[in-house]
Formats: sequence, C-alpha cells, structure tokens
Amino acid sequence: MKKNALSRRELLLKCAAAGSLTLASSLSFDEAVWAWQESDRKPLKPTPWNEIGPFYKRGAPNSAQLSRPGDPGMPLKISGKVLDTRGEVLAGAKIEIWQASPQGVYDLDGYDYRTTLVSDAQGKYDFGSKLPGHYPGRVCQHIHYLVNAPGHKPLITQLYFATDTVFEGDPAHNYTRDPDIKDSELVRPVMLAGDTTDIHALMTFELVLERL
Amino acid sequence: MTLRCVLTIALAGCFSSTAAAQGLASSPQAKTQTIALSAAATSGALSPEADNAAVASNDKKLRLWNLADGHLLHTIELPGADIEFTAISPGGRFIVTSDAAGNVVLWNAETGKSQFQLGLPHPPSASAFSADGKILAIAPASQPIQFFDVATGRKLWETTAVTGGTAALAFSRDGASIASADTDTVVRIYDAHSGKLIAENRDFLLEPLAVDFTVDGKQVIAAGADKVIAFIDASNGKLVRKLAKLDQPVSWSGLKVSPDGAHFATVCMTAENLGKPRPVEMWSIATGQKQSEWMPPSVIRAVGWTHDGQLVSVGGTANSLLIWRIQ
Repeated sequence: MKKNALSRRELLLKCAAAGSLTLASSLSFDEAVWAWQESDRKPLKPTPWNEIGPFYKRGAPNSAQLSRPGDPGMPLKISGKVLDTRGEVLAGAKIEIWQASPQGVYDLDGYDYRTTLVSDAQGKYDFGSKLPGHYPGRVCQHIHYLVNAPGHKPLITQLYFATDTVFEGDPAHNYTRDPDIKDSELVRPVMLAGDTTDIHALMTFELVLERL
Repeated sequence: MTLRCVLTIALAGCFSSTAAAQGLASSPQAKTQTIALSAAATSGALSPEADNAAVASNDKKLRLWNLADGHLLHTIELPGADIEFTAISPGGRFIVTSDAAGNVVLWNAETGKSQFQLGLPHPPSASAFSADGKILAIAPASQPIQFFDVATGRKLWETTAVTGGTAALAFSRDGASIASADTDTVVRIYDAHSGKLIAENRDFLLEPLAVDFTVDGKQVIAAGADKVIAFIDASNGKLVRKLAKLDQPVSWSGLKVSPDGAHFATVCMTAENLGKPRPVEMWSIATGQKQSEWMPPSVIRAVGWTHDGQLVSVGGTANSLLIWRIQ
C-alpha cells in the first residue's frame, strides 16, 4: 500500500491542531513554516566560474533554437533551472549563451549560435542547438553562459560534454586534459533520445547564482 | 585565456613579406634571434621597452633574458604550481607571476626575492605597470582592477567590478590614466591616482582585447574581436574615428603605440584557429593607413617597441624563445 507523505506544511497544521506545536507570538504560521523550511534547506553550491573567452558578443537576440534548419551536426536540447544557493528559483534571469558552430567556428559578424534567454516563472530555461564542434584554440567542446539576475553575482561559466572524446569515457578523471576546465562539475552527462529517424542529445544544466 | 601567454606553438615554415603585393608603403624584413630554453615554457612576457623577456618553465625556474644579446640576466627559483601568467616592469626590475589558482608573486629580479604576494580568487587576465614602475595594476579574471604600490605591496585602490573582468590594461605615458579593455565589451578610462572612472566607450559589440594610449595621453586606441580599430577620446569616451574593418580580430594586448607617437603596431589572431599565424601590421596614427606588414613564421605572443623605435615580436616553441626585430 502506498503511504502518502505529509508535506511540511500539512505536518505543521496537524501539529498545531493537535496542540503539539506552539507558535511564538511574534511569528505567523506562514512565517514559522518558512523559517522551518529555511533551517532545513541544504545550501546549493554555486555553479563554478569558468572564463568568458574572447568571443562574447552583447545583444544576442532571443531565440530558443540556435541552429538553422539544414545545419549539419548532432541536434542538441539543453534545459535547466536558474536557482540561488538556497535553492529558490530565479525567474526573469537573463541567460546569454554562445557556442562554436558544429564546424568549430564562432560567428563574430552576426549572431549565429548565440541567444539571450529569460528564465520563466519556475526558473526554467531551454533551447535547441547542434553539438558544438571542437574549436581549434581549445581542447574540448563547450558552450558559454553569462547569467544575470538582480541581487545576484553574475555567473560566467561553460558547459562541457561528458561524451567528448577527449575524456575517453572518464570525465571525472580526465577533465584536466583541457586546462581551461577547472571543475569536473561543468562536464555534464549527455543522454541520447528519439529514434533512428530523429536522434538528439539531451542535457540538463542547473545554474546556481550567489547572492550579492 | 591561457593560450595567449603559453609559449607552446609550432614553427611553420619561413617568413615572407606580403607588403609589396598589397601596395603598402614598405616591405619590412625581420632579423631573427633564437634563445634556447633548457626546460619547457609555461608562460612568458615581453618587457614594456621590448628589451627583456621573462619565461617561466616547468623546471620551476623563472628566467629573465636580455633580448639585445640573448644574455641570461637572472634566474629565480619558483615554488608551487606551474606559472601561467607573467608580466615585467619597465626596466625589468620586477616580474609578476601567477599560477592557475591566483597565487600572485611580485619578484625582485635582481635579488630573486619576493617583493609581495597576493592570493587572488582567479589568476590575472591582465596587468600593467605605470611607466615609472611604481604602480602595478592587476585585473584578476572576473574581478575589479586592483592597484598596488610596488615598493611596499600596499593596495592603493580598486575599480568597481565589471561583468567578466578585463582583457587588457595600459597606463598613459604620464601615469595619470589607465585604460581597460573589458569583457563586457566596454573600454573604460580611469584616473590612475584614485581608480575613479573618467570615461567609458560602449561602441564595441564584441570584446575589445587590446588598448594603448597615444603618446600625448589624449586618445585611447582600442581593438579586439569586433575587428575594428577605434580611436577614443580619453577625456569623455567618445569615438573619435574608426579605421577600416580588419579581416580578423586584434589579439590580446596586440596593439602598441611607438615611442615617437607616430605609429602603432597590431597583431591579429586567426579567429578560426588560434594556432595559425597572422601578420604584424604597422599603421600611421596621423592617417590611419596601414604602412607595412610582416608575416611571421609562427604565432606572435607579444609585440613591443624599443626606445629607439624598433618593433620587436616574440613567439616561440615550448623549448625556444623566438625574437623577430622588424626592420
């Protein structure tokens, strides 16, 4: 038989109704719930910083699809949430993303493979692209992020692919083969989805910002 | 980015001049000098007067070379991890090093002793000494620019933070101002005596990667990933003029004004492949016209002017320092 778990709020309500919980007179019930949840919440580690690189370009237009129809390469879908270190979602965060094309080239004259996204009310973001090529000046495939949210430190980082052949299947140990990767946390698993007619790579990348 | 200072590049054939083919004013030649390194280089720097070069190697030694005669001036024992950032003061008296963790040391080259040490959150992405060598400006990646008294190590002031930090720094010749090429695509000019912002220019869409002042300090010349060379009024940040668009970005710190103030030199990167060499180009400040260019056999890592107006370019392999004096 499945046992229904009580939420913290329900548990507090039951305790209050049974007289087993006494609220301090200065706190409302909602404040007490919030305080309990806050005290129990484990802080999240901020997403590691990684250098911005030379090809950031401001003013990228909003687009949920970075590649154009007919572009070669493995289709890629990336999603995630923007959070603060207390685990609270950050809605309305500005997320600037740029990457090399599947041929390993950055577009400096236009905005190909560049976008500016905004996290939704649940802090979520997602976009489609193609797997970036190996840029000749770097060891590993990567995607750049610059995230800004009011009241928080800007996050500059890069996302790497666990399937990158450079890692030889062991990114936890081999991530230092790219001297620009300072933290293995930035190397994320790649799931293959779809069928033989529509295969694509799926990744998730949570973005955790520090408060100012 | 570590690539700009790591001397690990491959030689690729002989140099040739393309100036004649393009109808440029002159067709320079380059005198080549090679300094053999006894251990693989991890980082290197050219002094502001282009007379010395410092090389940190994986044998835990920092060596200062006199480029005029290839003489080894000083060797300093390095503790800790490999060095990935190096800079030299005017006159070669002090050398800054940093490892990947941001452990910065200012070395007195003559004594081989540490003048002061800093624990920065990230290694520097740029640094500059004032012309008199008394003030050191350091920009750790993604952090404000910090100013230090070289003699005492005392922190003097710091600028306000900008997103992403700073790619290049240059003091004016009189030491009154400092210009920064910032990764948020803005060129900023600060009062070097207070760190207070004087002016900023927001005309770049991509990152400016190189800045220098004209000799009179009235204008800043900036260039970078936009492939544009811009002259900026140092007092108000307004664009004075832009030169014709380049076909490649100007590289990190790849823009230097000559001591007589008549010319400046640029070094571009090949954006599609940073390991592919690009020519060193010389421009007239008065006309904005390119006067000559010289194609190096391998990637140039630093460029500078000697006091007598000779243009020096430095590159290398892991085990050699290559110096080209462009005639």
